[in-house]
Amino acid sequence: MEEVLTKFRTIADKPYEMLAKRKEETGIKIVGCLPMYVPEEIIHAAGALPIVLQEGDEPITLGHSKIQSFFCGIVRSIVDLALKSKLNFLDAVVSPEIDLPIAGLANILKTNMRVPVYAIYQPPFPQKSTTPELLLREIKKCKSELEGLIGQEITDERLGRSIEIYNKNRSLLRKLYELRKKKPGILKSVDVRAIVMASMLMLKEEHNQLLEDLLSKLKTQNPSSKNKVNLVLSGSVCEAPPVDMLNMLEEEGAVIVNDDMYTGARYFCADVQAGNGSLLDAIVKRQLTWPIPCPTKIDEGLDWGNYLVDLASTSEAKGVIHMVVKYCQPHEMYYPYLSKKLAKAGIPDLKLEFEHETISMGSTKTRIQAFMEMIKKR
Amino acid sequence: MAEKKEYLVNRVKTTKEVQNMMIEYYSGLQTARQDGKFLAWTYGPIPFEIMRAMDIRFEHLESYGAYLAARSGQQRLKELSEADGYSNDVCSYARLLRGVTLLHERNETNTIPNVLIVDMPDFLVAIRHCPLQGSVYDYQKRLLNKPGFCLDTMPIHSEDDYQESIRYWKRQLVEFIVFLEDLTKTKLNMDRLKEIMGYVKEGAVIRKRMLNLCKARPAPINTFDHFISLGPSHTLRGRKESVEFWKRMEAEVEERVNNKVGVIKNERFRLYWHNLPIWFRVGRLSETLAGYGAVLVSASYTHEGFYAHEPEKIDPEDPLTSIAREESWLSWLSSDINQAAYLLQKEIEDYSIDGMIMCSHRTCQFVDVGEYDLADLITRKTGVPNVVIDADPTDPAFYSDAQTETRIQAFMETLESSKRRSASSLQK
Repeated sequence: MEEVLTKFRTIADKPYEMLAKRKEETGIKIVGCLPMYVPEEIIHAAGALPIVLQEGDEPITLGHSKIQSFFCGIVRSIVDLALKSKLNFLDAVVSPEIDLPIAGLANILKTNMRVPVYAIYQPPFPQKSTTPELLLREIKKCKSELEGLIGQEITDERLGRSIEIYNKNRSLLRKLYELRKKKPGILKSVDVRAIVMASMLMLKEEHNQLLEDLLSKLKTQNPSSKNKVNLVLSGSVCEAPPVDMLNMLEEEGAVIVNDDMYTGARYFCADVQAGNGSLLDAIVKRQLTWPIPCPTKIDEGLDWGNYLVDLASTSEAKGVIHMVVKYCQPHEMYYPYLSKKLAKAGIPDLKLEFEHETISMGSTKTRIQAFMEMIKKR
Repeated sequence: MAEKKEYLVNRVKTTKEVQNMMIEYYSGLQTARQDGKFLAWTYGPIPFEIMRAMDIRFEHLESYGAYLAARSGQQRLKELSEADGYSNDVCSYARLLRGVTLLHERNETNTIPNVLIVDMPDFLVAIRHCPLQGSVYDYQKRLLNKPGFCLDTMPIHSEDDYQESIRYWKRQLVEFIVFLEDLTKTKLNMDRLKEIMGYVKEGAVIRKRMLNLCKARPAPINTFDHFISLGPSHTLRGRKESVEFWKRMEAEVEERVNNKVGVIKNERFRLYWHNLPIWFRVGRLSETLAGYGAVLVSASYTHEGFYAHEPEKIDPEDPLTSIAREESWLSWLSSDINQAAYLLQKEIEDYSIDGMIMCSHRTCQFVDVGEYDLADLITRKTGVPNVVIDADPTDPAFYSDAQTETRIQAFMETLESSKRRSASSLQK
């Protein structure tokens, strides 16, 4: 099992080095998607490798000249990596323009990188009658731009095949999550993070094979979670939660049983359901029926607070940790509301904040310890 | 007897009328219930025209934040929202609004001066111009359990997007009107809306002419004066009284131009202000700059929004298209750096600008993102230097007088030496 996990960990640890190498070796076109919600199937169907751009692990230096320090880590880090020519392996960038830092990041990349930057504006109003038409226009526009760039028509046949591969990947990841819920502790949360992140960085066909292999190996595993406290992680919008923080939670007796994070369930929760309409219509429908509430959307059919209460109870979790990316204003905006909803339902919660440069691990540890004590005494 | 303070800036007198206009406007919000009117809380560049035509009274998040900040009324509200769990990284306007709802929830409205309080709303209206306005709207709507409507803006990167945006906007405006009609059980009177749009046009055309008067040397008006007199072109636009105000103000500014009276003595540097004003430091900054012979002659905030773009094309007979054009224009400016750069370069030429002040607002990512690129691009193209000031629209915790004034001092030295250089190259 270690062998297959190592494959996920390797790409998640050094994504850009691995991808640059792959580009050099195979010449494959690589398209960087800004988080969140780019319909990657379209890029895949054009014969390119879509990847979700990740926060780098090096300190920001050149990036300071292009973006203020009070933007979230992933945005600043990607600007910095672009200026350091670490993203030169990219053939294009697609921005979902879901919120302002992301749309602004697309503008900064457009000005400072020599790659085309395409936008798919995703109106964040699933219920509005005006939304499907605009979203379809945006997706069609991006599709034709990608066809021009890659020189490959995105036929229905190709798109249908890509959708199938992607749906399979999502279904396998959901199986993995089901397993983690049933057998808490079956995987360390940093490994789950690496597996989902790897899905964002690899060809899905390859990821599917690794996942199948892993799932078959996990069948026989029966971890003990005695005296452990089941927790749900929430948030970590756009960027992955820090490895140190995940490890610390587990060292202090927690076991993560579920999440709604982007590098987590949010990424793979919704399939494209090909129906009677066109495949692009099916993609539009998927974008508008994302089941996990998002602070960048105004979805009248969902309530993040209620969702978290349900998630915690169906996952038999004793508490919720809000993983808050520093300067992520959309998430910060909802945090008091979420916390109140959880309190009303009698579910303890804790807010942990992290940023690119520093996390005060000492005080984080104390807070986690106090939280765990409090839960254990209940 | 206290000595009367001498000011370096000779403010346009008419702007002093705005204070009473705003007090009257806010007192109208306080009496909405007893006057039998609906009260809405609004966020973003709202089509107030439609609400005015339906006789709905509206508070406006950003104006209210500015109103509070200019009167130092923000502290208690900030404390309350932070105690409720809001991080101080969150938009300072949103925190103030949360503070107000908490004052109401706790029955503590008597702890801040009455003129600074707005009543709780019947419903909410927002434009997701800045995505966070959408979040504030959604969050408040859930918390207050009130009906609401949120309009959307799509980012614009081309003429084709712009035209699509106008269509998108018009479709949404029709839905918005239906929402208002259902809620208030009143039909929108289209003739009334056309009349209001006529006043919007008249006011905007006059204001635009007056903005242009600042191309004169010496500059007759400081853009700081425009900052504090936006009410009649914002929440108070579309009224006859507002048009009359602009006429009086234009006459005063025009007279100054005719008599070559500058807003400051010995004008040496003409500056551009990029971004939102620092609402709690308008007066002090205006005086600080005047101390160096510097005057603001243009600003992105006043010269690009509030129907300043092609006001003559507003068609009162077709209000929805006129509103859709304005909203789409605002979206284009904020989503496309090339468009913003083109306009800024034009302002620099038209207003003979010597330097740019780029204000970086700590909790307003919307207006900050890409600002450094814009400044670099323009300085490279035109040679006009820039300075970045760190601030916040309403939260003084993110602002330092000493630091700002030191930066301004250094910037003035840069401008001085570039002036000397160009003078000596002319002599040669």
